[in-house]
Amino acid sequence: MYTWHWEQIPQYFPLIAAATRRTIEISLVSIVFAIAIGAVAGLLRVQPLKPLRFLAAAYVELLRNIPLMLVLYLIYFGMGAFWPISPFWASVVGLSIFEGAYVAEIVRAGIQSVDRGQMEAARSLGMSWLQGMRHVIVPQAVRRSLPPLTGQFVSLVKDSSLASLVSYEELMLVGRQINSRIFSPFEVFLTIGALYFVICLALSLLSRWMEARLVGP
Amino acid sequence: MVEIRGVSRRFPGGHFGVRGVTLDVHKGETLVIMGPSGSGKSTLLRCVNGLETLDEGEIIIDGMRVNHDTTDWNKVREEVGMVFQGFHLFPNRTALMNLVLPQTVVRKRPVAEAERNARTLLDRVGLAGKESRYPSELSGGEKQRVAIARALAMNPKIMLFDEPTSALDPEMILEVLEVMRGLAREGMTMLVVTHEIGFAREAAQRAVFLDEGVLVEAGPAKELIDHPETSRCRAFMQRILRRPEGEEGKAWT
Amino acid sequence: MRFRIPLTVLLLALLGCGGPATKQERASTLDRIVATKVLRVGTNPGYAPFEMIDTDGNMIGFDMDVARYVAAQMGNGVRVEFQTSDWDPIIANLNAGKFDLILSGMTRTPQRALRCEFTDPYFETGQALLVNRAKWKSAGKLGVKDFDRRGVVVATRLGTTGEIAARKVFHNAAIKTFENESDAALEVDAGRADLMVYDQPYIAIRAQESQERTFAILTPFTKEYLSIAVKKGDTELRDWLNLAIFELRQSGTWDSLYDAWFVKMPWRTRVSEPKKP
Repeated sequence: MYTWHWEQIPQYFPLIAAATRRTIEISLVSIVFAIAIGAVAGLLRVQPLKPLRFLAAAYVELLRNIPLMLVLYLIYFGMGAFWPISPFWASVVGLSIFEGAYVAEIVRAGIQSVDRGQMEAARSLGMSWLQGMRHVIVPQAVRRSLPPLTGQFVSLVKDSSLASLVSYEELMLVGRQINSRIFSPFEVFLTIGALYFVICLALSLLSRWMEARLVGP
Repeated sequence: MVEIRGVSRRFPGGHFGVRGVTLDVHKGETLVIMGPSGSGKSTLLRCVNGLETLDEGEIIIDGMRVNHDTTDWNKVREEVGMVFQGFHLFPNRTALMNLVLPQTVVRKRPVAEAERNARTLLDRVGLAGKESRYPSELSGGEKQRVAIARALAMNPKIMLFDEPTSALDPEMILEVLEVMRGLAREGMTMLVVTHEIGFAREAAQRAVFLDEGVLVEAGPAKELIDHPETSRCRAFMQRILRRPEGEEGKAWT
Repeated sequence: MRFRIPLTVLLLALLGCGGPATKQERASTLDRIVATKVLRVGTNPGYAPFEMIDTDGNMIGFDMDVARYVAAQMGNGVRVEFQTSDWDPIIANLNAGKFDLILSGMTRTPQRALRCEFTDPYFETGQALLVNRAKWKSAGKLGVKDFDRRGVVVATRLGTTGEIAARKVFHNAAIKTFENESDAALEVDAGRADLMVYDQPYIAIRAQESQERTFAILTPFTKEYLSIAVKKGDTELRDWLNLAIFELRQSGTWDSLYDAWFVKMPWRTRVSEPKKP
């Protein structure tokens, strides 16, 4: 029979609060980088120059077919052997390039979902490919990409739990540390779970608000 | 103005979209291209503004060879306006901004001037007061008129129309044809792919008939329509003109 | 109406059956183990030389041999089945019934004893330090306190007494916790951490394996007693195990096991290719 020991949790609130802050920090920074990497890779996949298209495709395929945990290990333990990198930055780099590949696909799909006629109309008016992308295609693509992108970023927040493996003191690691002291997995991990839930929910709501604010009918 | 010489375009499957077409479009002329579906009408039109590349032949626009690899198509397209069957207005911008965007981005005009031009053009196509409407708030006929105005905003030398009324409900075809007729009267060089026989008869100077990618017959519009010489053209005209009421042929009453 | 009486009788009978059934549940773990001839031992391999995986994938170690001794004492042909578990939920897994006891170089602590029952110790050791050679080569006689400075990084393993000891002792140095001891040792090896805190036997072996990059300070700075853990409430099994451990020492078996695993160490070649000098 399991006896509940909720009273053991409050003493760890400061530790949990710090961990929550770190999870949010690492997620936000990684999201920013993932957007940058993914947007570039996604655009490269649809532009006219073949070698660049190939490069972007290779990156996406590579990162989508290996586990995130492996990427983190390669960066922190592997690369870190001759190029010292902190757990925070190793996790950010790992998360960014990993999720960036998925963002690239979302961006690509978003761009390709815009009617071909839009680009034809833009080009017919004398716009270059770049101008067409910038003024006509991308604004429309962004609108459509927002829901799947949000999903990807929520995934990122959840994936940030893997930073625990390289000893970054975010929610998951701290949860396990507390549990190893009080041996009450339900209380500990329900608390941690609730915090992840709140963070992810906040992210979803933020995205919905942004969607509503975008110009256009 | 536009010289099309022996132009051929092959599709990836191998078969020809257009084959050995030679055609001249004179300045200020309205020329109609007709033919059954799949005859290469749109393909030919799209070769003129570079949306399709040539496999054979050459096109000369206003003295400039344009099938050449080094052609700066962006520059060419500033002078060649195109109106599509599907309108292709930019949905996230108002009617006004649809017209302003190409002017500011491509022609680099100051915003104020671009807006002024835009308003004038929208008024000209009968849409004064609808500048701040989004395309989703406009009817098909209104959308196409905005599209025409947008192409005109670039002050092109030539206007291409790719079946501009084929996607419209019958009651809206008239308003669009009216705008096109007005343009023709003002002396715009126009190349129009259409099934609208009435327009062809009344507003066009010349017409050509394409079948299976080949230019079968060409001549003064009225002549080609009323008295086609080739059997294929004749068969086509008969099929078109025998269609039920409300369609082509009745447009210009 | 017709069914009400028979139904009530049936219900009461079932409840009555609950009586003897519950008695069966409370029948001892020890009896069950002997009857089923299987002793399930929970362990977390990696702590050399207590439990390790050799190059063929077999689990070998001091604890494995202790387990086999214990099973032999039960008689009736009881054999051992080893179950691996992650370290930090190992006690939770024990209580969930995934195995009958934990034999995994586990230190007996009052906090842990709130959640399980510990036998008398079967081994005594303490925490030692694995130190990065490049950073501390001009060391001299160093004690634990000498490392407690800002800028020093201490690697530990999550949920071990090494982590607990490190947190007690180091207030200025930074502490990093890792999933398993080899990751923590790798931190020191690679120079990302200055030192690692872990049980002395492991430190000794690990320091030997990476002599060019690390050295050990083997004097233990804590005293730790390794015990076998059983499910909370299972005092009967615990008491029997105490007897078995007593016998282990009395019979001289403990000494020969110690000799094999800590002194002569013929198992070294089984665990890794002999390193070229």
